[in-house]
Amino acid sequence: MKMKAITAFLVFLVILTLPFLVSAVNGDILSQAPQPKLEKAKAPAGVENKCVEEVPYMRANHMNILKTARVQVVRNGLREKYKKYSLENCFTCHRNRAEFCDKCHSYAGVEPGCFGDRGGCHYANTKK
Amino acid sequence: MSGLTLLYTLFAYVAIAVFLVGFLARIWKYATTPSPLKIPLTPAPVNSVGVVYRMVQEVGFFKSLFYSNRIIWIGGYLMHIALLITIVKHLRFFFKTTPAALAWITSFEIYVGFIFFGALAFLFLMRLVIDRTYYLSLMQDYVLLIFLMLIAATGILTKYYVRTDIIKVKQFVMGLVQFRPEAIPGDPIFIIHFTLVLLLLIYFPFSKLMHSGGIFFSPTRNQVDDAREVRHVTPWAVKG
Amino acid sequence: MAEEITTTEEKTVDKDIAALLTSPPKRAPEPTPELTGKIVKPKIVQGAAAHYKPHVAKPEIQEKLGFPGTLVENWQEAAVAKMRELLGKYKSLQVYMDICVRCGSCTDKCQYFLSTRDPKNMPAGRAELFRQVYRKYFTTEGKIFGKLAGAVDFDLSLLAEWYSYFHQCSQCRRCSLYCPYGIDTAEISMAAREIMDSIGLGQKYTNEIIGKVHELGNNLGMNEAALRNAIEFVEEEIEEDTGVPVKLPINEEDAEVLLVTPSADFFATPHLESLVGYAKVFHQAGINWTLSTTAAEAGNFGMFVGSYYHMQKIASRIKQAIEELRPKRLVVGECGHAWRVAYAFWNTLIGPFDMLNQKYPRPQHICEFTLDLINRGALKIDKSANDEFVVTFHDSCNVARATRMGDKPGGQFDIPRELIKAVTNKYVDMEYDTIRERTFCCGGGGGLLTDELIDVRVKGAMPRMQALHNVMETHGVNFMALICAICKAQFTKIMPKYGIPMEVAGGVHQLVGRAIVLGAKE
Repeated sequence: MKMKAITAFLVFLVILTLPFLVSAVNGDILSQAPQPKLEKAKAPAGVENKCVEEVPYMRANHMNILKTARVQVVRNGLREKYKKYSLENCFTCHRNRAEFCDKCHSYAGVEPGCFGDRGGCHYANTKK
Repeated sequence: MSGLTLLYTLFAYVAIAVFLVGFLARIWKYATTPSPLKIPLTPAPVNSVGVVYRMVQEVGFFKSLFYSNRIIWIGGYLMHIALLITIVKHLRFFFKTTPAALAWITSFEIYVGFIFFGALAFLFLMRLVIDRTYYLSLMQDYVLLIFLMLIAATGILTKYYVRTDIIKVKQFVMGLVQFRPEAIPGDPIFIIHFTLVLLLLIYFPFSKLMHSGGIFFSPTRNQVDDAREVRHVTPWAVKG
Repeated sequence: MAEEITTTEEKTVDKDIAALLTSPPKRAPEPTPELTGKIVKPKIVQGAAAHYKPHVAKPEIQEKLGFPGTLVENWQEAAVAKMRELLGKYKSLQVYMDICVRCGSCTDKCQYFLSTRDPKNMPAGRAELFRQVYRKYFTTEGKIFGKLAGAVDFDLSLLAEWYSYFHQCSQCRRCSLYCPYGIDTAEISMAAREIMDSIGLGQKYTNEIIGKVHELGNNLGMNEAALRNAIEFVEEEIEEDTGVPVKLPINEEDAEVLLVTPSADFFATPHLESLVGYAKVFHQAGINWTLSTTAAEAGNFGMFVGSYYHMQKIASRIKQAIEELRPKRLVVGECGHAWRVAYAFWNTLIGPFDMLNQKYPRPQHICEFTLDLINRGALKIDKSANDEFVVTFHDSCNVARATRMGDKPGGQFDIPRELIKAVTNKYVDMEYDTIRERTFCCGGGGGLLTDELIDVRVKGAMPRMQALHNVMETHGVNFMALICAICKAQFTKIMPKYGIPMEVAGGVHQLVGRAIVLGAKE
């Protein structure tokens, strides 16, 4: 009776404190946010050396931009209008998937939709 | 550390503490209150393996509800499954490196937030439409549904419409679970989402949400039907 | 939508103590529900059943049981204190108070709701009366938000509602079957009655009977002489009928079997026919058996009022009889709640039964006992003796949802059916939703089998009557076999009001008794 009660209590304790337990087992109490490495290309003269949108906006919304551009270009043929957002353009700076994309993507547990395994199109520049 | 971060860090710890202590105190109460007599709802399993199987059917598939009311079962089951998937998907915020299995599950886009919201809205509607449940419903029944709908709505917003920077969110959450506070993301939608979740955690142990833990202690479902074979003895009811 | 809710005029609960404690006024009987063959989910009608209440127990009845004679001065405090005590004693009560989510699953399952349409007769609606008080005095939610959160002061009008509605529950557990968490309103209504008893508000019918059992050993209040007379009469009847001197031994020491059966079997009709059946079974199988005047009652009304003390005290007479007579086996006659107490509680209350033969179930149901004999060829059966009957079987609520027969779950459904099929040629089941664990209560269980609640009983029987009506129309059923003394008493009284002859109700062992060929063995 008492044993049963204690077992039940412990089971629920473990389930409820799972996030804390996991992070304890997970180790590296001082882990920091991933730092993606950027190998920037030299901008041509007279062009500002920066991304197509502000960095904070890109962090949260790059997937929408990429997806919109893909649909508009590939399905609706608006290549000129969305030239600014072409993936080729991105690849000039963001050229290394492992050092740039995957740093955050594996941290957040999100599979990037651009490449490889499931439904992605781009294999170039995607050395893991 | 900004004032907002400090405030939310404290708020989060208070909410988690209230939830943990409150929930476990209730569980302790359920577990230690004696069950003086054998009252399984028969036909019942005649051994403990059978009881586990019965519980799996009840907790995993809502079997009794299924045979009782198919409409409410559909709403309730969808809601709970969507909630479960949502919770699993949120687990990636608690791992430093997301385990492959979790990342794999997360990679399926099945719009689970919308299903969750839809099921909640359906349950809300059913409460109003069926005269019997309308009569029974209390303020807290509606409040909880609205609460969950708001949590679902803000979650959907941060994921599909007003994208939030999830790396910052993860930093913040990892900071909390590793007791190493990090800055809270400034995104207002996220802050609303987070606030609602914390409030829900605080209310949880005092509410009917305790059915989540309580069902395991329901004597009509968790007892073995062996009254004739094994003498059932509890402290206050049987002397010696 | 919501505006469907209507209130009926003038059917409210008592407003003051004097009104609460007096008996309900005599009314003309309410109209019997129509037999349409359908069980429909009604629209709710608030307060439709608020005027029903059983007679309040007089002080002398109450005091005999150790309860206050009349409503105590500080009843509210006392009730809350009692509630606290029960919450600490019963896991069922504590858990069920907390975990109802008001999903509505149970709302259309109770026979009293289906017929009275009163939302407080929905299982969750009934339990809500209890939870209102629980929230007020025991939950943070209720203490902070009060009425908003459904916490209500335990005042006189709420107590009057308790008295009314917790005596419109037959503790049949149909709600628990359909509840996703197994919430059992029987547990809640038992606790409510125990609380009411503890503050001096008892129900006359049940408490009077508990007093009788304590005093005389049976619910009917017969003394030993009357009991012996009745049994002699039965013996004469059997001999007159069959020419065979079948004995019903009383207080025989060292018999093989002690039969404990509801005392109604000694007097009432059609109960008596089942007693004849038991006697013929024992006689023909050549098993040495006995009845006991100490344990002349299988019924245990202590369960109805939720009193562990009285339940144990009543059950202890069985133990006493075993010690006096030293039988090897213990068999229980046809009675629903008695079988629940015997099957599920006796081992706890008065066990362990080490002195009985370990080879047999302790206790054993008479249906298990008889079917076993038939299967082993110990009885000669002439099925054609029952050819005038097309039989159906009413699963008694307590047997169906609180006990088992045989080794396998569900034996409580299969064994009586197999037994009936072994003694009759024509058997039909009623509708799927009304049999086996889904069975409806007869409408008279749980301490409701009293005249002043006749309207509640007539209404409560409605779902069963509809199902019976259907098989009578479609299959020509003319006999509903029962294994419960309360079902038998209830149906013989109620069925004529529905235009069904009372002879349609009878015991399973009534059929067995008719089919047994007495005399020379094969």
